[in-house]
Amino acid sequence: MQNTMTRRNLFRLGLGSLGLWGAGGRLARLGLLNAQVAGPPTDYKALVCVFLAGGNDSNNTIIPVQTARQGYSAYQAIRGGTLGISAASLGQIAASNGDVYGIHPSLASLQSLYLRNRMAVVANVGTLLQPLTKSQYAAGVSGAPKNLFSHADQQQQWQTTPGGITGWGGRAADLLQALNSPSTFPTGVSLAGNAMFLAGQTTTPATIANGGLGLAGSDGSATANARDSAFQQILSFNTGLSLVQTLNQYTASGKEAGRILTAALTGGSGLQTVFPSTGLGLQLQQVAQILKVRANLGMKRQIFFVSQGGYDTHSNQLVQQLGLYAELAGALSAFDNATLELGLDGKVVTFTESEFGRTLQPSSAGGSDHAWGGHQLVLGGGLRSADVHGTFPQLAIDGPDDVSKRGVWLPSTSLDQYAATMASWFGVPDSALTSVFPNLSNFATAKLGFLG
Amino acid sequence: MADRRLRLQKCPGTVLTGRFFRCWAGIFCLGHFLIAGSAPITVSPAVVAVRSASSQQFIATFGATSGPVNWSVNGVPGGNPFLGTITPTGLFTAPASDPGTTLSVTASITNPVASSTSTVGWQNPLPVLVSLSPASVNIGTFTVTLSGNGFVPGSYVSLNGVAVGGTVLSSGQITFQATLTNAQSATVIVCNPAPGASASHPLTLKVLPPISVVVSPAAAAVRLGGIQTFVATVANAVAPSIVWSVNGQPGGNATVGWVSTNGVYSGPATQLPSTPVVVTATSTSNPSAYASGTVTLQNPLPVIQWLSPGTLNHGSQLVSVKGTGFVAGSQVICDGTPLPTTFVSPTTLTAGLVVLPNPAGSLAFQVSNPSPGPTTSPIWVQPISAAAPVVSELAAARFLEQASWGPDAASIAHVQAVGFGGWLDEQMAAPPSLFTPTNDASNNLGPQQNDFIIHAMTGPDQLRQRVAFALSQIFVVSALKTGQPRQIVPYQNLLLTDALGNFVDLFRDVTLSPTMGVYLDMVNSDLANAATGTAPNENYAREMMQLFSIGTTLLNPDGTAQLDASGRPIPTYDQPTIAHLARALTGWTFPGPVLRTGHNPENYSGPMVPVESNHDLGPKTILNGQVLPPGQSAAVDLEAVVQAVAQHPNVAPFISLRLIQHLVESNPSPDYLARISQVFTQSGGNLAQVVRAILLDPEARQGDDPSAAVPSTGGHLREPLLYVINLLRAFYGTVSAPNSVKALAQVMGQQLFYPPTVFNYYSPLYQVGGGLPGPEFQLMNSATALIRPNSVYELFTKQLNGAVSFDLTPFTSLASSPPDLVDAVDHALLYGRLPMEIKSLIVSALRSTTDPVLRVRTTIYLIATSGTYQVQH
Repeated sequence: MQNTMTRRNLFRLGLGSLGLWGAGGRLARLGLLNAQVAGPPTDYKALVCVFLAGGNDSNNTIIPVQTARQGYSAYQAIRGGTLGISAASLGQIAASNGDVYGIHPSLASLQSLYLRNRMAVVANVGTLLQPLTKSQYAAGVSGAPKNLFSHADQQQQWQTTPGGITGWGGRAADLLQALNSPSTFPTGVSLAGNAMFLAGQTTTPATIANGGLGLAGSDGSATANARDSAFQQILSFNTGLSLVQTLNQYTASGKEAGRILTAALTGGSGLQTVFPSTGLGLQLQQVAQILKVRANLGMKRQIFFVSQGGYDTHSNQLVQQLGLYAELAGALSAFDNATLELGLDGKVVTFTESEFGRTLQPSSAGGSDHAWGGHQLVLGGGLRSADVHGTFPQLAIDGPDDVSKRGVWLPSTSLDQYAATMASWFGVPDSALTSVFPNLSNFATAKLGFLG
Repeated sequence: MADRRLRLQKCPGTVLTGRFFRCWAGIFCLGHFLIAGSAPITVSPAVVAVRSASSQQFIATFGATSGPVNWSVNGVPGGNPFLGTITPTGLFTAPASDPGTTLSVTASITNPVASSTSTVGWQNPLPVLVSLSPASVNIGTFTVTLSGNGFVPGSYVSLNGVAVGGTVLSSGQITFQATLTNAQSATVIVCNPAPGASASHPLTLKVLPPISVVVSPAAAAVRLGGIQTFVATVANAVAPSIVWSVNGQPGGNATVGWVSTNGVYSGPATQLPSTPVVVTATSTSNPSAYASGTVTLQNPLPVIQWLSPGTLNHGSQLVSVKGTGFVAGSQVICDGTPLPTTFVSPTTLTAGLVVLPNPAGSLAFQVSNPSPGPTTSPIWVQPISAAAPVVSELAAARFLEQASWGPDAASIAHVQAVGFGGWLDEQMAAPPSLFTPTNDASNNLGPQQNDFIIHAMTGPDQLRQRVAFALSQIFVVSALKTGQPRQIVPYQNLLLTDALGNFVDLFRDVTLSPTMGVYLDMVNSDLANAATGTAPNENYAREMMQLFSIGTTLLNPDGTAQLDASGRPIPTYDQPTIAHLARALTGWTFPGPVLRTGHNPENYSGPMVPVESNHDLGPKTILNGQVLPPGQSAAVDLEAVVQAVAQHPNVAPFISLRLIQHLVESNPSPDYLARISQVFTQSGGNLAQVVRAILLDPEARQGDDPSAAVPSTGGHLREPLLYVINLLRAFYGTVSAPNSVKALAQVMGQQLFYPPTVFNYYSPLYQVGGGLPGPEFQLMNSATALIRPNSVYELFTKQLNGAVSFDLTPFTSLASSPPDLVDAVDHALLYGRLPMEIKSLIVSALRSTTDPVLRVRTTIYLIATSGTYQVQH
């Protein structure tokens, strides 16, 4: 029940939701921001978080081919035939410093985005409270987040940043929701169920799912209208029982979000872009549909959360990754096309998160185990340039970047830096970055160079 | 004189020839005779030795001249105390101490004037030895005091003819220290030095073997507040007295117990000491001679003296048990069933009790005390009030909501007839609704999902199914990875079979399940292979602790976190522990033939089997620093891991909390959880007793009385499968096979057999706003909040396109009277607990139509979708 504070707050969804869409809260929030955000801008921006749940083995996403630090042989020596991707099958990409990397063959369509300056790689990103060296980690210096290697804890930390109890997307929404006024539609939208990432202090996301936009049987008949009226009044009745009231809040919030979205979508035309009929493809297709009606919804800033599961590849990884990456690349490519179709080039940034990387050393059964830092992908037309940002780890067991003798990378870039770069592009003012990302002030560089 | 000289020769270390005396005698004899030849007066004896304070008669011989004889010593008439005194008749008394000069006794006459002098040699007195204290000693170094008289400075002691010195305390006392290493009778004499060296008569000093102390009994079990007499036998002691102590404290103290001067040990009154207790008898004459008796303190014998209330009423209540000898961990037993018990004081326990109708009209109470010295009190019989209300309909319904897939009129009536206890007994004995074994290796679990729904709707083992369903959400496997019927069926059957057994057996069976082996990669996880560069798989090693048994931080029995000095939670294990556990669990493959190397092909027909050559034989350090020695077989290592984890004190609160949350409420009070943890621990992880205690606990039963206040934080959201099946059973729905009921739960976020991850559909730690635990709310969002009412609509309006059917005629017959209809549906779903205001709202809505079917559907929809029903209290 009270295992740890971290675990307790796992997936916690702040339910300040009923008052949330009311004008009072929004205006008050706007007052706080008046200096930084002078009047509602006419532009539109969206962030899309693609969460690769289970811990993506990014050792196989981006592989050094020939870099100043190492060549393919460093990778091959440890991964070998058990988990290794053959050099010949890699799609090559060049970093600005001349280093050459290979991208997994199932991600070929992302290679083409990279070559068109529409995708960047950020190497070895992980959860960190402060900069940390291998010897400091070994000595137990308190810079390492709690419960590394645990799915639940690291999923939470990637969504909240280490130590947070609200999502960093939700905190950005707290600050910027005022720009969406007077729309009462939530700034955050999850296409993947409940998302800690979008739970802010004062904002609660909408969750979009089939069958969840309105009440069945509301056919406009007198009986249906009477039923719906009674349903609404029952929601308002205070039973004095906490969990009943909580449920009533969810139901009321859902009805309101569904009402607004249904109205916005009414009469709209479909998308030209064809999305793959995969789980992630369908989620991003729904995101694109909401982007299309952004004006109807009255939105200036939106944050989306989608998720693809299955990355906990303890076994049979080579085969599993073929499918996982094919789904990922297909969905991301289609979504990139959709942003062009919708005239949102440069207005949407899509980025990956995953709770941890995986051990470079293989496990029994052709898999890999939970590790720490991993490489992330950032996509969009607004990137400064395609590049492999950050510092790529040296692929050596017990090498300078391995903290666990199995190829577990000490992150060289913190999640807070990675996230702050995108939040800043999204509109969070510099003066508010350290309140949205409390660990950020521990790092010399607040924002990385890939955006803005 | 001659005799004395003989004895003097026994004194060692001195020349005892009487040289002084003889020499003087030689000189003065000559002079005497020179004078005596013509002297008018002579004194005899002319030369004499006189011992200290002794007398000597001198005789003066003279002619017939007149006149008195005048006696003087060294010229002092009559002498004095320092020189000796002499009487007018010539009786000389020597001074007590050495005068330090030669003494001359002179007799003078005046007519004629003449004198004669005798020479007196002063000698030390003869020592007289009267007694020895002590008269006997032990081997070793000892001190003895001698009493007598005639001792002088320079007196010394001779022991067995060897001078051993001594300290002269007075003329009557001398003490000495000496060492003897053999038991014997030693001769002691006192020697006085020259002048007049002499020896006392001998006395015998008895030299005994070393002192020995024996305490009997050598070990004794003593109950708190009890006594035990120890007897000390002291041998060879000069003085046999001893001192009693407890753990080094003379006489003992309140913490470790007291011991009297007679060796009667009294245990501490109520608290077991933290250290072992030793009662020791120590010789007073030699503190290094001692012996001890070990005391094993045991809990006291509990005795019940009375119960409050004096007469028990039916229903759920807390009973105060008064008596003596109660300790923390005492458990109240009622008619043989352990009750959740709280220790209040050594004289008071409280216990949660549900009193059921009982032909005997009374209940037999006992108190059992735990180890050390577990014991049970005599029976106390307490009468039950004759006015015996049966289990109310509401109470039975609430109980069945917690213990089954939902009440209906028949099951409510049955619980009312047999009582909670009777129903539980029946359920424990009911045959499990097992899934049909299959070798189906397809990914179609539809038949098993259908069976699951049918079992829930109609199976006789409702309690077992609910517990197994809860366990399936703790020991999670997901069909996302293990989605074949041949994988899911044996695993579900394992959970059903073990659901009411012992936790350690369940834990072992899960660990060895090939389905779990595949899901969390323990199957074919082999020792590190240098050639392929692979390491043992850590997946199962990690999750079995984090999710299946103990969690990540140390817990108190009430579920609160144990904190270190800085107020931080204390981790239960670290990454190296996981790596070692993963190594300990290497070498297991699918069931099949015993292999020397390699792996068996996929097979789910039994537990995994070891391949020893794949097992890591190195030493491993597992939980709490326990070391598994090198060279143990895969099975020995695995059993050690299973026991180490299952015996961890975190398991009781960890598992108890999850079972309470699934069966009763999301947010149990710490006291409730502590009571269940206690049953878990005291029963050795007996899940049947744990489940019984969970369901009969006063906190679970406190809503049974509709007039009693319930906490605002109680209850739990009905998870999708429970929600749908509760509704189906409440209206006597019938379900076709195959059916699409499972699809309803899926769209609400709970796809049967397909939890998204090993973290289940929702986390037991999930909290709603305000920090209140609400695990099932993790499935809730703006979409599912509407999908749930829409599912109710599908169910009752469209009857799932014919997959289910209800007979709603009893309700349609009431449709002409909306208040009666609303009351009837309220009764069917909430047993009369729907708030009056909500009833009024529904009655108003029903005025929009007169169609009886529409009215019934609308009423069921509005009540079934209300928060009051969706959240079970």
